Amino acid sequence: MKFGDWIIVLLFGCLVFFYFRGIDRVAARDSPEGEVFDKKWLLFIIDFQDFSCMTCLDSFLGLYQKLPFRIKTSSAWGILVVKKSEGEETRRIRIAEKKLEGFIRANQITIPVLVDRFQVFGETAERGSGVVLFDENRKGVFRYDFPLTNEQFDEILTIINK
Amino acid sequence: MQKRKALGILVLSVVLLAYQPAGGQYPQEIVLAEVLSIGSFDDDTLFQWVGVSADSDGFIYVTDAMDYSLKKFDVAGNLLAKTGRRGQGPGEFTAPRLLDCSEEYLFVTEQYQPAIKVFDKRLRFKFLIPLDGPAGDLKVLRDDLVAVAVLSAKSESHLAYYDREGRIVKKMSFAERPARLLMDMVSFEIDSSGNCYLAYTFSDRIEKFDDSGKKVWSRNLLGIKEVKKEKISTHVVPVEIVYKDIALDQSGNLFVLGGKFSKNRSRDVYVLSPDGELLSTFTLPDTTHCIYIDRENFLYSRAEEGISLKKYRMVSQ
Repeated sequence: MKFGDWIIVLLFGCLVFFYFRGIDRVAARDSPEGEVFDKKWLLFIIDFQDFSCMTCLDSFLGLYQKLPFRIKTSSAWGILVVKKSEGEETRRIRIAEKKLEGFIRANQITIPVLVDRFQVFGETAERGSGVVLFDENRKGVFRYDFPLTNEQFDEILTIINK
Repeated sequence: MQKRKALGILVLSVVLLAYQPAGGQYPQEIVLAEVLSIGSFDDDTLFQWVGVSADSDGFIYVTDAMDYSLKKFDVAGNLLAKTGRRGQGPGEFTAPRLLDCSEEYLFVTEQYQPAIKVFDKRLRFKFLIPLDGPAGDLKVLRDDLVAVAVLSAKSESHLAYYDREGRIVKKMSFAERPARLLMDMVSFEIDSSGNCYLAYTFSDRIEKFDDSGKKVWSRNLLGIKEVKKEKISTHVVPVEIVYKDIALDQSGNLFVLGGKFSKNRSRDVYVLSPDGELLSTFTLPDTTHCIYIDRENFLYSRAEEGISLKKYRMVSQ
């Protein structure tokens, strides 16, 4: 590698360093409690089929309602996975979006919940509905299937509230 | 030669016209004419309706599982009232399902809950009828009498007739011994003479019992021997639905909605006479989980997976 290339790499490294430092500062400033940016994130995976069995979503609603405000406002998302079926994919997505709208409104859900129209989470949802916990402190990603046991429920809340 | 040919065609035509297919005759065709549609992608009227009933004044009542509600519509399909939210209190729901009405009341069941919630026609919660188990199906006979197919793994399959205090005033057994889990799950109807018609959810059986509980006839329409079962948790349960719902028209004809094994899954409706003779079949425009026929013989079914409710006039041709 030539000397000039090393200079470019060094400059790029500096740029990346200051960029992320800047983000960290902005995040700390905007955080509701003025703390360092939260190191935990939650991703709810909702299998569209569970909309036919509303009690199957009790774990989701139970956990959602117990989430601290700071997690609800910045560190939790939901994905509604509509599995592929024969034909009329567009119609299925429209149906899913409409039902989701009713569900969100009735349960006053404020986190963003998106319909996975491109099957990005198709394989993840093979196990049905669940929640994925991204925990930077423990350096891991953990998946919990619904329905949650009481122990799992408490464990997630303990980690989130730490 | 020409005369012979013509004669041959004539004879063949007569033979074909005289021939009736084995296992059922089709003297009439039923055509559906849509007269009302409630709910669409463009409004927030319905999100996932589950139960439907219409009273003698033509008002339509619907349970909506997605927003935990009970809704009332006028004959033109305008939303007149709505009640309910998520919860366990009076007038609240966790998963509202079946619905039927008497002259004065609306009777609503909830998934997995051994009780019926009773409302007046203005959707005000009035009282609760405790049951011995969750309801698989229900039919309201009077203001103070409701028949329920109670889901139970312990006792023999039966319909229980409850008064408004939750006392069983009559019991009709339709199996001699407890069936394997869910295999005795039925949809049912009761006619004005007290005859009871059952359509089994997980087996190819439609049956009629008289008022005294004696079996009158038993039919299978699809030739299904056994349905697929899966192990869920510790239980082995059937997962393929043969018949989804049953309804009676004002002439006493029986309408049975086919499930997975029908040519048009969740759309084919078999019409049987009170004697169990297959009269006709027709196909609904969209898949549905239930069918309902009101006092004026209008048929109600689902469209867009519960976002729309369709009301049809049935025309015999």
